[in-house]
This record gives sequence, structure tokens and C-alpha cells, in this order.
Amino acid sequence: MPATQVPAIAGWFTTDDQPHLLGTRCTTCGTVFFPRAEGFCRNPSCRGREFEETALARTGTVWSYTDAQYQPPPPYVAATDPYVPFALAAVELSDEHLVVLGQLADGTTVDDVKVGDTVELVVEPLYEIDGVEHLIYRWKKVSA
Amino acid sequence: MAHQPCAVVGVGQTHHKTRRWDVSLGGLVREAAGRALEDAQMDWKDIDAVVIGKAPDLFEGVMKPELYLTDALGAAGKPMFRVHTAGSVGGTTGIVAAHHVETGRHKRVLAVAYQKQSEGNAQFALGSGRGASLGAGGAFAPYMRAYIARSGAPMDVGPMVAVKDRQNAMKNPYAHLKLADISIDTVKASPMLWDPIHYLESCPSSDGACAVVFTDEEGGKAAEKAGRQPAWILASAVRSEPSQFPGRDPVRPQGAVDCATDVYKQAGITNPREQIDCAEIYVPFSWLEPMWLEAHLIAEEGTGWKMTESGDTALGGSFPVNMSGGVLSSNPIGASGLLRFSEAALQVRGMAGEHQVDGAKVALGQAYGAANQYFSMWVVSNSLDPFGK
Repeated sequence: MPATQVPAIAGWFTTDDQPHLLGTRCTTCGTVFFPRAEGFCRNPSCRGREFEETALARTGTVWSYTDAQYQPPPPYVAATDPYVPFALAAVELSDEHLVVLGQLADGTTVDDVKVGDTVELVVEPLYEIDGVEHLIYRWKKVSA
Repeated sequence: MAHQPCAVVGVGQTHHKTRRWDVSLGGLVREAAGRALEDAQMDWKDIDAVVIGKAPDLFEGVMKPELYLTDALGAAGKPMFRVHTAGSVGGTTGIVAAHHVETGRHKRVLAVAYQKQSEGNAQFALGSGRGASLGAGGAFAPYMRAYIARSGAPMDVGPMVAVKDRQNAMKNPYAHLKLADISIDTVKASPMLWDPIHYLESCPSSDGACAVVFTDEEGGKAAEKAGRQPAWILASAVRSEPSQFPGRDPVRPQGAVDCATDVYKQAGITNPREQIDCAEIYVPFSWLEPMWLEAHLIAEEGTGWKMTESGDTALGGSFPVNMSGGVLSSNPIGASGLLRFSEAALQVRGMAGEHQVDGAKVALGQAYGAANQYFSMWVVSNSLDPFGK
């Protein structure tokens, strides 16, 4: 029986089969923000106050990557015991060209990626607390 | 910008260690300040104003340290100014103190920068108190990987920097790390923390303080006449940039390029590689040496690693970098920038002891902070006009 699943942060990404990051676009100047900007536009030359939600590109190229070889201190919750290092990638989105940092897909290590590789967004469980699976977005290498 | 010449006539620092539990915060800063005053042949009462700099208050959990440390620094009743620009703060502190002399506001200013990291939890503080932080190296590792990919640098370059700086530290009595047996092999065999940064390519966490006494042209010339060579500040500059904006490049930040361009222009430097004799730059993780050499226009883009690989940046090389052992060997975060600036001053004063660069006439000091966002730099010389206008 699959556990109840919730996004670890509400409103940052969809959880369907073709998941997207969710940003906001200023309706005055068109600048796209991720994480979402609300209230006022961060563009120094824009006085816009209205935003519309926008689904960001599902793919991008690896700008850089690293991993966390030692378990971060509390309140970090390790998914496994013993701790297994996780890898991160900074990905330049193919349409918006924002560089978004996220974990690499489960089972992927720094040896599996290089700068310039194409990746796509996936949603996977981060950890389970009290029967509830918390989901996050991750980057998965696209086979050539 | 018209201003009066400013001279460094006193430098003091503590012995940097993991835990300085033999002194309180007050004792720590007083140790450095006392040494600086002794070097300047001054007493506490001779100082007109104090500028104090340190990185986030969360490191020790003492808010408003400038108020708390007034007594320890003989500053009761005197103007006192706190500076905070993250990791670059030590450098900015020196610049702010110098400004107080250059503008004619005060004649003798004491600058103090410190960090007592053992009294708090540095990793927690670096994560702005939110915990679960990857640590500073975790944030910088992707920038280094991007640099390696762009430049094609061989992977040994990082370990070479780590070895060089620790070998230099063996010649600095104040340095924290004393790793006599360090080698490229031991660095590569040490645990990987955040790919590609190994444990032995990372800075220590140190308790330490640094202090500098600044005075005006009259005071500097008097010291010189008395046989105590001052370091003249030829130029200084600071720049900062946000962490995210269109076109942001943390590998070669615009702020880094702009800060260097400004400071070289003020100093009359048109060829930094040739006209600067040595440099103390903020390298807490190995790969930042080639990255800063490029971003600060000393090496052509993509070639900074060649200066490291060829031995140019070694103590005996053509462009020595971090003769003191640098941040890789001692890192009391708030003090580290002022230590870089001070070590540059000691070089041109001929007071760097075993890690002295022979005949150093013009030296560069640099510090950076946050996610490669804040920069402070200065150029010092034992002459007010080293390039002969």
C-alpha cells in the first residue's frame, strides 16, 4: 500500500507524470523567478506587483555538481542508516536559463554526471515521517 | 579621490588555534591589539578611534560585540565602528579604519578583527542558524567543479595549493595548522567532503584575532625616520553583488573583476602580474587560488591554474601567493581578511620573518565573503610612489 505522499514544500513543483518546477512571472516585465516571487518584482527597473504562476522547463543542462559526503548536522533527517552520500546538480533550465540547484535522482553519484549533460526533472520521496512520504524534485540524467 | 596618505605602523595577531580557551573574547582581541600597539610604539590612550570587524554574531552568540568589547580595547568614550561583510570583513575593517585617517577624521586608528569559533557552532552559524547546512565548502564545490570544467585544469592543482600553503605555514609561528608531512598523495587520500574538495584541501576552524594601527603621513614618516618601516596604503576598494541575478557568474564574479580594476587604477598598476611582488588572497578551499588569480586579472582567464602548477605561486616563485600559509592554514573567519591585509603589509615592511619574500616592495591583500559576493582589496608599499610617476 503506497504511503500518503506530499510535496516537501507546497507550490514549488507539480507531482504528476511529467512534473514541472513552478515559478512566477511578473506580468509587467516578464521576468521569471524560481523560487516564486510574490508581492513585488525583484527586477530593479520594474515596479510590477502582479505575478502569474508559470511551469518551468522540464529539462536543462548540468552547470555544475557536487555531493555531500558526510551527514549534515541536525535537523537534517537521513533517509537511511548508515548515511548514504547524496549528489547535487546546478542545472541551467533549457528555456528560462535559470540555474536551479537540486539533488540528483536516487542512485546517481557524481561519477555519473559531467558538466553539460542533459537532465530532466523527476519527483521522488526524500524520506517518510509518520507514514507520510515527503516528495522533492530531483534531476535525472537523460540517456543520449 | 583626494585623500591623505595612510600608513600601517603596527601589526599584531594571536596564535591561531582550534580552541583558545586560555583567553576570553576580551582577552583574545587584547592579545592582538596589544601586539599591534607595541609594534607601533603606542599606548592604548594614543588611539583616537577603534574599528572592529567580525563575521556573523551567531558564531559566538554575542550580539553587538562592539559594545561588549569596548573596555577590552581601551575604547570607553571613544568612537567605535563595527564592520560586517561576511568572510571579507577583516579586509573591509582595515579599509574602513584607513578611511578614518585618509579623510582626516582621526590621526591614529586601531582596527581589530577576530573570531572565536570554538565558542559556538560554526556550521550552524554559516547556515544562518537554520541547521542542516552543507557547510561553506558544500556551497563552493559546484563553483570549483565549473571552473575545472571551463579551464580544463588537471585535478592535481587543488592539492598542490593545499600542500604549498601548509608548507608555508611551517614558517609562520602564528599559523594554526602545522602539517609537516603533507603531500599531494596525503591530500588525495584524505576523505572527500564535497566533491571535488578533500578534507586536506579545506581550511581549519580557528580562534584568532588580528589588529592593525593606522596613522597619517606625519606619523608614518616619523616611524620611518625612527627605523620602523611603515606600509603605505596605495589603494583600497570594496565591491559586493547579490547571490542571484541574470548573468551572475560565481566562478568569475563581476564584483571580483570590478574590485581589482578599481584598486589597480588607484595604485597606478597597469600590469598586476609584473608590478605586484606578492599577494595574500583569501583561499579557504584550494581551487580558489587559480580562480581568484583569474578573477582579479593577474592571470588570463582559463590560465590561473598554470601559475599554481608551474610553481609561480610558491614562496620562491615569481608571484608568491599566501606566504603566511593563508586561510587554508588559519581561519578565524572574521579575522582572516585582516590577516591577509596585514601579511601583505608585513611583507613590504620587511617584517615577515621566515616567510618573507626578498625585496617585496608592492603587495596585494584580498578578502572575499559569502557566496563569492563580497570583495575587499588593498595594495600596500614601502614607498608612496613605487612606480615613479
